[in-house]
Amino acid sequence: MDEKIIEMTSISYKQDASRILEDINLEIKRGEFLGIIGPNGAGKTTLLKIMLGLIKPTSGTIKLFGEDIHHFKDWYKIGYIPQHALNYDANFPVNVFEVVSMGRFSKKGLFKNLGKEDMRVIDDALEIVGMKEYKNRRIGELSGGQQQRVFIARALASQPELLILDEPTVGVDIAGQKEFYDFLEKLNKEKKITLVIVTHDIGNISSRIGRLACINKKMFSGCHPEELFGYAPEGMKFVHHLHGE
Amino acid sequence: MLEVFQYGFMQRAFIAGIMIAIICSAIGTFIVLKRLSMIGDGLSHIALGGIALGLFLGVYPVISALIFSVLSAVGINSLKRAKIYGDVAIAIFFSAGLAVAVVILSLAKGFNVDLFSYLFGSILTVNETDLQVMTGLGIFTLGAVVIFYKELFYITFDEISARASGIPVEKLNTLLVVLTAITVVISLKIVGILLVSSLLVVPVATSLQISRNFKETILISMIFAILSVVVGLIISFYFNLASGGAIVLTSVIVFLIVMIYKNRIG
Repeated sequence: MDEKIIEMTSISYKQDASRILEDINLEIKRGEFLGIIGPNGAGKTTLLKIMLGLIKPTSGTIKLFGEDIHHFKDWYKIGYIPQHALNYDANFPVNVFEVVSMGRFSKKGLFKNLGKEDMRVIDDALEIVGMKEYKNRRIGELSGGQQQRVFIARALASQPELLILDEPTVGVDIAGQKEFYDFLEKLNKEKKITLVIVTHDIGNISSRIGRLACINKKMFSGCHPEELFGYAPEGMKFVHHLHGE
Repeated sequence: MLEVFQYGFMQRAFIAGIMIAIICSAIGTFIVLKRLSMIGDGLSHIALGGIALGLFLGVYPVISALIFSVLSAVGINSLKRAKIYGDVAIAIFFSAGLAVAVVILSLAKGFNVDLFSYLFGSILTVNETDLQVMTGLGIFTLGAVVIFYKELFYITFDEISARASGIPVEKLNTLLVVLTAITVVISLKIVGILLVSSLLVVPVATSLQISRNFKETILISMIFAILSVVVGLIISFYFNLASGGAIVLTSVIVFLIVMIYKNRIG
């Protein structure tokens, strides 16, 4: 399927006088696994936030699932795992079940409580990330990797078609990282979820992602892995203009 | 029956007090975890301005306090959106409310006794009208928390993700401060302006030491708050103390006991 689920056209973003993003064009098709890399301060997180409607771009247009972002209502189709998912207050009194249940809230809408079907979806999401037996544990008691999986489960609980992850493995140990990327690959291949991931972790994603976008204020065309990382991970297509391909 | 339960004014104080305990815990859990503990303090001083004005003009002071603090709650929230730091926004309204109170107090010197009971809380002052108004506002506040529980919970834990999933975060933040303003006004007569914010914060702080999830935090906090209110009111009755002081002191002692107990157990 070649359905475009994200189309960003001529996106620029300025904050005060400084240009954060310039003339970004990006299309993401259903079923893709797209990696976004770039140095610190390159505007990667800003790009994701614009994609999610959290920040309004200075200029440019965005379409989500074929619909202009201003009219887009089906936010549950997009699961977002923010960069600071692991950075919240560890003493916050909330257990794994409660965190994952948040994933159902937006689909449910106001004035309605979660029902049996929601409970089943929450259980399934916990099952997929392998955290079912931790259901009643306080989130602060879990390891970084486990917490990250809980946040993924929360995103999965909204039964998303697209999952956006912002540096998801910060604070996760090396063994946990590999396991985590295996898991993402499985989500992409088996559950057919489109993935967009911002990461520094080029070694781990290189063999798994389908496409790589390099950003440093602009989408830059000399995005060669040799230059960036000193080696070329195999099986990876590099995107030069990111406009179709 | 114990003497303390025989008087009409004490029965009203118990009913009102238990209701306040429940509402303060429910609202307090959200504002403590959102790091907004100061807002209760701010809104109560604003309410003082409203009370002074009400007493001065001969209007029912609970209503003038309600109008003052609800409008200020909305104001604080919009100042925050205008990129004024949250605590500065609170401080500005806090100052304005207190200044209004002080100016009116210097203009008229006739209602010092009344004002004293509003400052420190009094079990003698809750009449039938008060109880009816408090019950109405209480049902409204608690109802709003029940209806918007999942959304308030989400924005308290993770505002960014809540926003990304399409939850109307700004509106809910406004709702929460307005509910806090109403809670403060409901609690004024029993707990007193100077101590209202303590009842919003201390039982929640106690609960946070032992609770294992969010719902439990609210429920345990309610138990501690009710305990503090009932014990505080009884002490206040027998020793002729201002009820606000007795209630909050009890809640602080409960906090200390739980803290020591928890550290002993590990």
